Amino acid sequence: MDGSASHLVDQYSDINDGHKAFQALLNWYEGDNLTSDTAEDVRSKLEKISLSTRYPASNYINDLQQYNKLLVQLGEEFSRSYTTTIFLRQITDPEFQLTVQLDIENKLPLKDCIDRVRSRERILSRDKTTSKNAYVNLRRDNVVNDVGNF
Amino acid sequence: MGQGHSNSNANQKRSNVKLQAQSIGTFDGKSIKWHSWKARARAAMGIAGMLDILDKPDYAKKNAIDNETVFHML
Repeated sequence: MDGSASHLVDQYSDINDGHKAFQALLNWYEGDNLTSDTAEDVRSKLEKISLSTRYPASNYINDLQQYNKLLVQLGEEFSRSYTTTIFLRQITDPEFQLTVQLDIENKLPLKDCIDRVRSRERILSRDKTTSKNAYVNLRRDNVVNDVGNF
Repeated sequence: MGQGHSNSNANQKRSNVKLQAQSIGTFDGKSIKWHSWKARARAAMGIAGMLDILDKPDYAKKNAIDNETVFHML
């Protein structure tokens, strides 16, 4: 136990009472005040993540689902439609813009939006691999031709 | 024979507790990580057969050694 939680456990160090130490942690972290602070913290993190050219879709989806799960555990979840809005709004990678636009136009539910972003990511990743292989083949052909010319 | 058997059980329990203590990991006090740490801690205590220590004050009182072990696992 490190950081700000250690004093909660340490207060029972003279009697080494595991039950009381755990209950102290429960009361502290699941008491009303801290729960709303935590929910606020999670909500603000949720609204800061984005799917950009530097942050892959799978990580973005994973973060969103983790934060959402935390909010559900705290009983402070956003509505499904607002979560869908956040999910689509925070996709800034131009490669996904058409997918986002179609999702908005068709008013798809969150699960479908996630599935479509995932499949778009798979297509992009396959395209990248294909063009990389084509580049490697082209270079190899050029080297073979160059060597042949000597 | 009986003595040997109970020693072996005690050793097994001790090593199981050590193993589970490692799987809990350190909680850094950040509230955002509380729920996932709590889930890990409860799962580990459950496997070590000590979940009742966390939840039941009377049980914890009656099993002072396990209660102390749980304290050191936290």
